[in-house]
Amino acid sequence: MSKSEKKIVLKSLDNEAFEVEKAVALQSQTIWVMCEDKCVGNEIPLENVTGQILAKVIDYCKKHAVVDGDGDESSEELKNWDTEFTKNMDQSTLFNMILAANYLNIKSLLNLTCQAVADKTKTIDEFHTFLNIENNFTPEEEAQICQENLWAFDD
Amino acid sequence: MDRISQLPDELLLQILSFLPSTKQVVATKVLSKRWQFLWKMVPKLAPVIQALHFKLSQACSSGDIRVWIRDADKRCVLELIIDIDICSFPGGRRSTRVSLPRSCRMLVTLKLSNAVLVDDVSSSISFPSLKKLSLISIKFASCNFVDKLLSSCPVLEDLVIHDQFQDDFIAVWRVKVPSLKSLFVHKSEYIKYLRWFCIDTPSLECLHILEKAILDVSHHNSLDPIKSVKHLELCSSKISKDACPVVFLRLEKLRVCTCGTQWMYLLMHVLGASPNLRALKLERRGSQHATAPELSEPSSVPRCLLTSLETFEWVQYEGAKEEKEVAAFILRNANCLKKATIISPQHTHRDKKFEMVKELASWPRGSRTCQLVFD
Repeated sequence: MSKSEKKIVLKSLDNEAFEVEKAVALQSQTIWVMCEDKCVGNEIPLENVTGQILAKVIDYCKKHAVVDGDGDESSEELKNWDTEFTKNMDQSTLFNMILAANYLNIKSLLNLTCQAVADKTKTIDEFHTFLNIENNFTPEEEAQICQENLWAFDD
Repeated sequence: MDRISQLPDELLLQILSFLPSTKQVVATKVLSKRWQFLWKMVPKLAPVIQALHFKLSQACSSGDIRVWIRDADKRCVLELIIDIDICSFPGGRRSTRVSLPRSCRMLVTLKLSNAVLVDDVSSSISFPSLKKLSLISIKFASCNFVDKLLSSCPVLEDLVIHDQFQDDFIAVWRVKVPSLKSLFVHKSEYIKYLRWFCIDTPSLECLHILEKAILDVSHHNSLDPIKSVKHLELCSSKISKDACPVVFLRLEKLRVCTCGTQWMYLLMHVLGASPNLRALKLERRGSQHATAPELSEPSSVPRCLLTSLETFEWVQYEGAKEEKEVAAFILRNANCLKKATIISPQHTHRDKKFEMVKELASWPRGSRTCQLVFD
């Protein structure tokens, strides 16, 4: 296999091109299927992901591709790396990461980002503030649901 | 912008499934309409049991039942049915003792049949989510326990009380449930005792009293406790005279059973108190037919006949003297009646039917557009 065949170019929605190792990119089931189909050349257009998000996804994939091949002493380190990776992401980035992970079909990244959202939203107030969820109940409806649901709040 | 709510269900469910406790997952139903029902689909919540149905013979020991109930208690059960089969036992006496679950906080429906309900005085009961409660041939340890049970259901909407046995049945029911929308009470013909229902339910919309009973409508803060009833079905019950005059302002549909001796008084009483009634149905439910005393026409015609009654239906009309009087009175005075349907019993002879229809058609009708259907 020549050197060029081991590399692949991913092109973002906003036309940013990233050259990555095939082994890194193939963690995405979506890209894997595209390559299998041979319907695309060496350059794969990803119409749903911006360059800014794709760069982060590639960081994640690089880390996981390298460490996965390394053996078990790394699993702890990988976990810490994951935590750091999502720790300071804002709502918008996390949201886009979930969408990208879902579109690119990278199971472990999807789990990681969903987990990060769950970690940042322990209470209903946090849900509202962090995720900007708009409460569209009328005050009466809300009162009724809360009444039915008193026990969920009585910590 | 609320972008997260635009994610497809499966992604939101994945986020919910990472929340550490069931409580937190369920709490998300208050977020918004998008989230209101999502929690029910979270795979991790599998211990939520939609329905748990115990169908037991009397041979089951109360001890076993206690263990099962305690187990159900620990899980999140939405619907719990405990049905004790007494047909397998001659004499059909209820003796299986059941104590209620204490902390089924998500329980929405509870149906109990043929059990003796034991009050565990030491602990309190609470059903914060219970909406439907059916008590079928339940023997209560004490009257107070009934009050305690009903007051532990703050969002109860639907209550069914159906009794088949005479032993120790509760003679006075205090139904004081502000959230109640529908009340259905029925007892078998074998129970000779009269029951007294004190009803204080300001949200009630449907009331079905299919037994000889006294309704006592209590008054609080000058709010008519059953003023919101839209559908009413009565069977030879009596509305207590001590109660203040009830007006069923919102009553639209009324069914009265013609099996007791007092049905005409009951009918006239309720007609007089229901100024906006639109549909009236008379039907004999029980098998026995009591001869009713003659109708003394009310001094004034009930307002609903003059202004609102549109349909009138009489099933099992036999053409007895008092029946004729009532039918003639209604047809004569119902000014807006659109359709009157009179159905004779199946076995009625052709000749008799012919005579009945001739007679009905000859009576004056208050409404010119009224269509008369006879079968």
